[in-house]
Amino acid sequence: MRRPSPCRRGLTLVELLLASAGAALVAAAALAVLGVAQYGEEDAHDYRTLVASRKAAHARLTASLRECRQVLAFGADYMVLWRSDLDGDDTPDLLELRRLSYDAAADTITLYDADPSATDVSYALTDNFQTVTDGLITAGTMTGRTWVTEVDAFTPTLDDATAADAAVVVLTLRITPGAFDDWLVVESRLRTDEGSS
Amino acid sequence: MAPDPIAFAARRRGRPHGFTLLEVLIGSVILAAIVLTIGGSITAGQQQGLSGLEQAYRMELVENTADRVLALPYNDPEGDTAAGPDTGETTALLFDALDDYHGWSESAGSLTTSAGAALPTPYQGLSRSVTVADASVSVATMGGSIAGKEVTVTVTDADGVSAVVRRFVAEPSS
Repeated sequence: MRRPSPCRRGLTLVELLLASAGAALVAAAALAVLGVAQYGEEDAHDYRTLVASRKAAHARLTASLRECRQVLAFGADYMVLWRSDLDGDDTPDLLELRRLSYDAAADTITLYDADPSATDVSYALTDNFQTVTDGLITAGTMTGRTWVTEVDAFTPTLDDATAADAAVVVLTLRITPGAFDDWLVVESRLRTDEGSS
Repeated sequence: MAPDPIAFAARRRGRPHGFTLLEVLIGSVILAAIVLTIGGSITAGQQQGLSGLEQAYRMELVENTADRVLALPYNDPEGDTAAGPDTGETTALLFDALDDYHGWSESAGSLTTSAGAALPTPYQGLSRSVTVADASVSVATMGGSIAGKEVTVTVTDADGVSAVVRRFVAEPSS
């Protein structure tokens, strides 16, 4: 009877197990590398999202502040601005008001302006513009547009203790796009020189 | 029959006998090259995202700073015409004219807003400086030039990368 040659015998169980373990190790390593690659790509994507969100928030808030001439009232979650003395009567009117409101529940900043078709109303500089604008928003006379999203902290401050004398508005907010949260500061001047002419 | 010594040797050589050192080394080098290539592309992507973010910080700070400088009036209310802070104007919060900002700077870690509060973390790695110089712009269609001041704001990060904004402010006509 012919003995099987050592070259032709099959794999022993131990050899098979060792080979399987080796293959599994290689597969696991390859998966790990792919996982890291995916993580890196997602991370880079989050960075790009954050940059885009910051640019949009900074540009929008600066644009909404820079054309205004005076802060009429502000608090922890709102700021009422006098855009421009359009009719030259030295008092703020309905169509000249603007309000930025922060909604902590919805994480948004909303920009309210009066509907241009509304009948103009004149206000005195001494009026409480928080109450005035609250009423106008409830009545639907001032309508809002979502201005900045994914905001989880908002602090408005001014360069002067007296709101009417402020020349610079400083908004500090924390935005949370994607996986990041990051602070953003918008420091914008008002057109304080408008009234002098 | 006696075994053929040559055939026996050939069979021995043909038998699986494990990897040689050279084979293992070549295998390792190929594997390392693959891992390094993948790793390099991941790092490059992240680096790009990070540098974009740093650029956004610089641009925001340089715009914010320019705005707070330009918020001040062209002429000093007390009539001081020398560039740089007037007597007693020890902090930027006391500046009352555009040219008071000449020579002003803040170093990394000590940046404040014009409301006096410290700026949040992402900006604190940056430093900023302002110069205000007399300048004029010639306007061909007016046949002359306009006198004014040029405000230059520079924001620099720890690696020495800068963002610069220059604004010309015309002298008030009155």
